[in-house]
Amino acid sequence: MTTQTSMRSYRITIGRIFQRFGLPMMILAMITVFASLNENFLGFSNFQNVLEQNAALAIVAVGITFSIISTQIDLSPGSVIALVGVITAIIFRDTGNIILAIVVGISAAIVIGIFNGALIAKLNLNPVIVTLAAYIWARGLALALTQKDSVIIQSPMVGFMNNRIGGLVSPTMILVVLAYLLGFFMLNKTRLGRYTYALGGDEMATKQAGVPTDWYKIGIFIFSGFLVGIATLITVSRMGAAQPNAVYGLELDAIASVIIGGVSLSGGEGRLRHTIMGVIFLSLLNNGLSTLGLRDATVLFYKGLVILTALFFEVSSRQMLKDEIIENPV
Amino acid sequence: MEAAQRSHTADANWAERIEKWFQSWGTVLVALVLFVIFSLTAEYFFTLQNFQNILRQVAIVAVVAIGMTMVILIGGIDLSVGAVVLSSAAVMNSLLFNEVVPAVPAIIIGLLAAALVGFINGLLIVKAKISPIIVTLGTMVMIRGLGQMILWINNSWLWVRHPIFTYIKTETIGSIPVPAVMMFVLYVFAVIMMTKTRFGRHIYAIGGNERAAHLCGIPVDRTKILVYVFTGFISGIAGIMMSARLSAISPGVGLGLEFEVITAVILGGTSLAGGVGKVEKTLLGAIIVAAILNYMTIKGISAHYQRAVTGFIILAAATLDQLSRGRTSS
Repeated sequence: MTTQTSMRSYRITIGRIFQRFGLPMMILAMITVFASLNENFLGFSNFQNVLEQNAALAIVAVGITFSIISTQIDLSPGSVIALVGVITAIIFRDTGNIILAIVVGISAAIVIGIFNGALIAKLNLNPVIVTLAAYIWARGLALALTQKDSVIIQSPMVGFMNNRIGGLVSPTMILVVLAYLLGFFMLNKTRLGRYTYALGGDEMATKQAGVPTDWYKIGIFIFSGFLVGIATLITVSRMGAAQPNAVYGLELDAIASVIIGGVSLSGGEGRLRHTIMGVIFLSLLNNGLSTLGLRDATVLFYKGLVILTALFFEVSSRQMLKDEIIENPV
Repeated sequence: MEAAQRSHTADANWAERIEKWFQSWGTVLVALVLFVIFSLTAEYFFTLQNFQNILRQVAIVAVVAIGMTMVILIGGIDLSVGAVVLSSAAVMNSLLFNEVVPAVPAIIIGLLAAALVGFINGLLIVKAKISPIIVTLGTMVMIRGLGQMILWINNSWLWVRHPIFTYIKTETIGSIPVPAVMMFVLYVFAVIMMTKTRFGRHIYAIGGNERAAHLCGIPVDRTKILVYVFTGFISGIAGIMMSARLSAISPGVGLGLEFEVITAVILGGTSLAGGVGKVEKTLLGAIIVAAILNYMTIKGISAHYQRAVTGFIILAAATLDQLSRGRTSS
């Protein structure tokens, strides 16, 4: 009996193969296509470019992973990055103190996180509505504060962030790695991480078990707010200016990469390694399409098409796996 | 125990009645109060010409909002509507501009293209079981790309020059602008459809409890796909109105329209959880937003601050809605 059960649980099925190797195979296929179209695609310097171009996306995706696992989708990061960037730049312009500007900027990102989290946890508002509102008002404030102009930041900080130490790694890349290490630690080793899963699994039961769910919900928003602050720092220093129209649609890229990676939108499951794979997929897609010298319109079309295809495979393989488990219970 | 409960009910009777009244008439009350305040504080607000302005502004958002209300009622969401408005307008005008076909077939082809996008959305959501927010996110990117490609073939701008669009833009019927007449006709049609037809009843049943609806023999899948097709189709009609409003179709047309539309639906009190809401209230929600924006324009507040305020209006509406709901249920 025991052997039979274990035999069954290790049975190789189509759903399982897709679930396991689908995304790596799609990434490989994409690399092959782009490498054959563009000889520089596989070079080391392009690899560095991919990492730096998509650093903000990668960091925001860590926070989005927490939000999606706990079933509180967050549509606000792109707009919040624009607003916080503008705040940081204006404070630097008026005081000349870059440290103060960065500290205030990151705090502002956290405060917006607390505001959103409190509305969701304490007033019981729908996360989609709250973060959709933030998506609109944060962008509006960013545009209003600057009258739609960029605010240039002339600080050695900008050079420092983009300078590759020994031609290899820049502080931007190091921040990405640190964000993921922090994400791993928070998700796997802390109470916040454990209750992130619990909130997504069964919020009522978690609450009845005596967990102060409200505070953990706000905690998740504080954590992702902090990450948004770091992502702002990177975005602003890459451009050397704060642009109120910056990173339009970043949150949607981040959500797409988390889902493509294999984190379920119904919550309660998913790992940060899924997010990493999804971010790699989307980063390569962004970079590959941008290096082909296509029109914006064509880039958008292919991007949408590839995202939809990847999602289709991801979701249908998960569905297949579920059906297989129902048919042959372990 | 029973007696105590009964006296308690008697006490709560009046409060309950007031709350019920407020729930069904609250939005109307808010609209009336706002109109009185605006008329008293802004000289130009209460004039026929300004009301015509508001109606012109609201028409496109309100028309798309009919479809969005139905989508949200079945527990879905459609982020692709802005892109569909662009693409259908691009299809119609490129056919007309290049004099491929006469006006009527061109418009019909544009509408069919829009409905086709809705059909793809519906298929992916219902048959492939991918979450609506993700599917329509993918089609949003892809269809915007496709629309921009059509524009690009025509030198990235398309002049609108057919007399049918000039007619819609400039004429009024009994001092109501033509786009507003189209809007009112569509709303009458939608209200009848939602209250008097089987299709409408099925929508509410699915939104209330999809499983139960399925067990009652309601064709859940077919109804859901039809709702997305209808939303695509009505976004195509908005594409006609958009062509009429603008003298040229540019790549940015309809960008962010989906969020304006969702704002109107939420303000009209439709629950994002599905099953609860009314089409006619969405119209009221759209008019409230347009009136507030119009008032701010008269008062000389910049468009960017107006955008920020829109975000906070959503939060205020959601909070009010939640507070009234919360007390009734407890």
